[in-house]
Amino acid sequence: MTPLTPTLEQPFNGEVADAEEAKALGAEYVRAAGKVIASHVRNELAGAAVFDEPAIALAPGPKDKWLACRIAMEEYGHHLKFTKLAIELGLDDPTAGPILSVFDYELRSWPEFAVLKAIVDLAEVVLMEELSSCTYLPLRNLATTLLPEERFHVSFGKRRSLELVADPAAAPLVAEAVERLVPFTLPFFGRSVSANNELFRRWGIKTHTNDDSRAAFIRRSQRFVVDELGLPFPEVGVRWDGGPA
Amino acid sequence: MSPFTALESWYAVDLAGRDLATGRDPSSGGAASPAGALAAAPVVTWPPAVLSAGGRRRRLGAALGAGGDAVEQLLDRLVARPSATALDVASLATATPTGPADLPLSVVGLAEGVARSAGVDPSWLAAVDQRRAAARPLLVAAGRSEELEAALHVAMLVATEVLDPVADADVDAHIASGAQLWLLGAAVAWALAAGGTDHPFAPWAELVSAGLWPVGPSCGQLVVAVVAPR
Repeated sequence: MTPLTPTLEQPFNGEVADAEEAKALGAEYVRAAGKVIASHVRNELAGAAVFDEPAIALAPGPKDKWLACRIAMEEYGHHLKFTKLAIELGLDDPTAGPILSVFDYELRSWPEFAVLKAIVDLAEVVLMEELSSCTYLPLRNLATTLLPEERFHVSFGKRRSLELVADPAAAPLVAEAVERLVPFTLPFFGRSVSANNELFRRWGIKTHTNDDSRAAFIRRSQRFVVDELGLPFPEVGVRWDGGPA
Repeated sequence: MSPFTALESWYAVDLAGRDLATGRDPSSGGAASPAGALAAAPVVTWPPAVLSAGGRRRRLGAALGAGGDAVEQLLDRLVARPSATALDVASLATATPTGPADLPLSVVGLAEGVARSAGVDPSWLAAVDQRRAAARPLLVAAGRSEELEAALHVAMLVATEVLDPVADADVDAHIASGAQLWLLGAAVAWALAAGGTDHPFAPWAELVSAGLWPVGPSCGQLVVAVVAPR
């Protein structure tokens, strides 16, 4: 069988049913799917540990405490579901790679958590929406399954942020969190010049460049911050080449 | 030291002995202890067990050591979802994690339970939180951190699914589910620490298993919400 050599101009657009088919397609396809899966394995766990678990203690009342608890469990559950895909694909140790810089963060207040869910989880939604049409069906199906939960997290964050920004005592904390979190989220999408992204697009794991995804996130988060919260949006660019955004 | 000596690989398996991670016979990898194998399982089918490379099989309860049977029974009831009508709800509800509550019982629907949770005394909730957190240091001091992590991991894998809100956008259902998960986590840790079912969170864990959410004392009543009517 002639090996497939997809290009950016003519990417692979088939459907790969399972790990066996992925392996039959070749090591490069497994590497492409595996890198995206492993990244989610690490980052879902880091998100649950760095953001969601601390938020349970920061919650101002019982309702928010329980919601934070449920959200933390869901994020941990996402980590485990991606771990299962990693094992099926035979990835060595999906937890061994680097954690995104966005997780190098100390959660300080409940308003910050609310904004974080509205903004950082929106980045996750943008990425998962793209994966919900990827060529590797187990990954596509998982992303489709998890999207409603991620969207719930975003809607929770938006609702709470809107309530808090209407409270004169909490509004400055919301504004500060927006200023802090938008730039922190941009590296989530990867570098503007990225060999990995090209690999993903050649094999149909992703369809957008990192900058395209980042631009979509900026558009959507800006709409929320400016139109709904009535706050200024930090000056950020679509390009990111490493370092602080 | 666990009664199951190291130097042997352990795998978390289903009833048929298939690796929970792969759905196939255990082959490569494995963990150095039964608890380690359980803690590494990305999914759980009920009831899970562990299998050594040498063919020794242990139930979940045995793999977790002292109190493990109580954890297994607790989760078994959660999966079975017994009817609340079979329980003495009043007796269980008044046996709160901070001690007996001499208050009239008020069993309400989910929406009212969420509304009344806002009236729960913060100092009482803080006392529950403190009691909840007290199990971990006991287990750590006893050298049982690994068993604790394994028990919580399995419990959350099972409970997150069982207590999954039916509608993804239902905020009230998410609140109740979060509260139930929080209580179950405490019950699991305490079952291990106490070595059985005689611990502060056991009665409320019974209620959770039956689809109830013990909200707590609110406006002079002990509120229990019906989350999943059976």
